[in-house]
Amino acid sequence: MRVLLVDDEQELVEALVERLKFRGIEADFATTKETALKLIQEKKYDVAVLDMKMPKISGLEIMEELKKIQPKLKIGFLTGHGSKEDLKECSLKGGCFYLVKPVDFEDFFNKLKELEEK
Amino acid sequence: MDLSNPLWDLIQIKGQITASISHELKNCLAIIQEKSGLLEDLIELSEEDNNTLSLEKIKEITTSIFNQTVRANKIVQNLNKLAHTPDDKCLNIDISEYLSLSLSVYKRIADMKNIELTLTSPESFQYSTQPFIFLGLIISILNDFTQQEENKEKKLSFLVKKNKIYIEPQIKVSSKSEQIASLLNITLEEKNNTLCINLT
Repeated sequence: MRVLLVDDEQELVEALVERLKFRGIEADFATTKETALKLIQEKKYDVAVLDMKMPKISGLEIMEELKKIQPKLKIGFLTGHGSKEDLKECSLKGGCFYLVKPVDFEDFFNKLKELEEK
Repeated sequence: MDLSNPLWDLIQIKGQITASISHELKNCLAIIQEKSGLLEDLIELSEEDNNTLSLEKIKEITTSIFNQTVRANKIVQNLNKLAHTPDDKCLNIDISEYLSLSLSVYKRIADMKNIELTLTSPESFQYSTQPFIFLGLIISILNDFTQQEENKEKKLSFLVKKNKIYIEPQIKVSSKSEQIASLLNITLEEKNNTLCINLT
């Protein structure tokens, strides 16, 4: 399984990537839309996990751009807000899961494993 | 219920700012949580493999955790200042200090629209006002700027000079900001590509 994490908090995604790798999941991170698009053009990913609100762009906008390149890509969202509106919008637009920061790592890992098994 | 009172706008502004601050704090906590989780993973792995933990890696992780606590502490200090702004009906404040606080608590919202905020205050200026409403006025003006699509990816500069605050470029001020300014008897003047806040 290969996962792409997109969040402007570099230290957060760096740590998540390392922890996923320890558990046998291939993972990369991007802190901007541009890097995310570059990575997705280079490698095939099973899941992209996106921050809902990033400078200049929302996670939903990034999702649309990534899906143009890899239409079967599954999407999860991480957010610091956790509003009902965000959750509803993510589900409506095809998000597979939605977790509020700070996330429980085991929950996060289990969500990814569930997606792998689907 | 009549929600046209400018005090309602001020309550909304306070909600907007505290939501933004809580978002920033959550990011700090998330980093601290994942870095400490990473440390646990490394300890567990080193026990399993009977390997020595890299001191350099431990130092990198603990430095990152420390830096996040410093970042979180600054955010909480701003939150505390913000929480105390309604304490006094009228207070003699340093305008630059409150402008700096307003821009700090607004930074994440501005970052989301790629707007850079700068403050220049060559001299200190004391002014008697209600700090919560004053801060609300500045945030309302910032909202006026960031909500205008054409202002994305721009710079907004504040200059304090005697009893005036000059904001460049000129902002189309909303009726909400006008109403909040009127609560403080402050006038807003748009001219020469500048918005001037007259503190008289």
